[in-house]
Amino acid sequence: MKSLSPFASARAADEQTDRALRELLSSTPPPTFHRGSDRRLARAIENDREQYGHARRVRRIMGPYWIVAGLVSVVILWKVGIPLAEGSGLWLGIGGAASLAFASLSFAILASLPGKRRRGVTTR
Amino acid sequence: MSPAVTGILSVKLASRDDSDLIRGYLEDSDDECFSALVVRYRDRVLRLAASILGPGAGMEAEDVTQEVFVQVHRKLGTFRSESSFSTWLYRIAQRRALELRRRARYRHPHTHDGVLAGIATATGDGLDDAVVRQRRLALYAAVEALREPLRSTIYLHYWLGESIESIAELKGSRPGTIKARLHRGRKRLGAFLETLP
Repeated sequence: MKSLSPFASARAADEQTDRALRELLSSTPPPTFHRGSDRRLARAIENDREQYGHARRVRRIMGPYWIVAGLVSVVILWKVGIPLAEGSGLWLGIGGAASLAFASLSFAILASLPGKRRRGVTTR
Repeated sequence: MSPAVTGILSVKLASRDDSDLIRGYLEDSDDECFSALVVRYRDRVLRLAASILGPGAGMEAEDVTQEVFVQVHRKLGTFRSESSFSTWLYRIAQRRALELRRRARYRHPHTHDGVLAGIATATGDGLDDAVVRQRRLALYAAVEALREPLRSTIYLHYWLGESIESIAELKGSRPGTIKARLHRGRKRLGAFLETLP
């Protein structure tokens, strides 16, 4: 019996795999959108718009405040930290001033953060 | 937004190109324009997500599609038109679906029911049925074990019936690359099939 050439046998194996894959996967239904998907998407976008619209507004309002808070922090470090350092010891002064600066910046950052992001995009 | 997505889009909107619709949405706040983009691309995004998540994860694919459009809606203003809108959209979808698959693998290590139902459709002869079923289960596991992008390319072609050109568009690759991936995938699966009894 005549044997197949390497090329022909590779091709036969490829066709066999092709057939096996078709048999396996053609019987599985493809995904489709369910009823109400459009409404769900519209609702999700509406929620997102409200939530992020708010976050954007807050950022816009808080933006200048961030800059002011940064400047205030520098002034605190300079005007309070250095005199304190001279009077009560270097580390106490730097520590106290850094705490004040940190508190000021934290407040600015926290105040401008949006609410915790809901995972309510899907409402199934 | 809701009437926009659910409503019937006018022929005028459907005939406008992507950049025109994006401009319409961003500059004129015309929700219908965004809806037209959703209607135009949602099926493709769903299929791309499904090809990454695998058969039986239809609900998850739908969730990914929704999240992708929410993200696109949020970031549309940052779209720079350096690539086409569809390329940008498919890249977001691909990344989101891959993320979900990585997380879901730990939660759903089993074969999905939908796939099992398909596997069960066999010859009718008891013994043959069992052998065919075993082979199909093994083949399904082998496809699932393929690495990306081979796996999703196989699914897009064999499960979702996408053409080479269409897969190339979804994946942002050349048709030749897709052909090579399909060939490589088949070769690996063929080698695996030969080891089966």
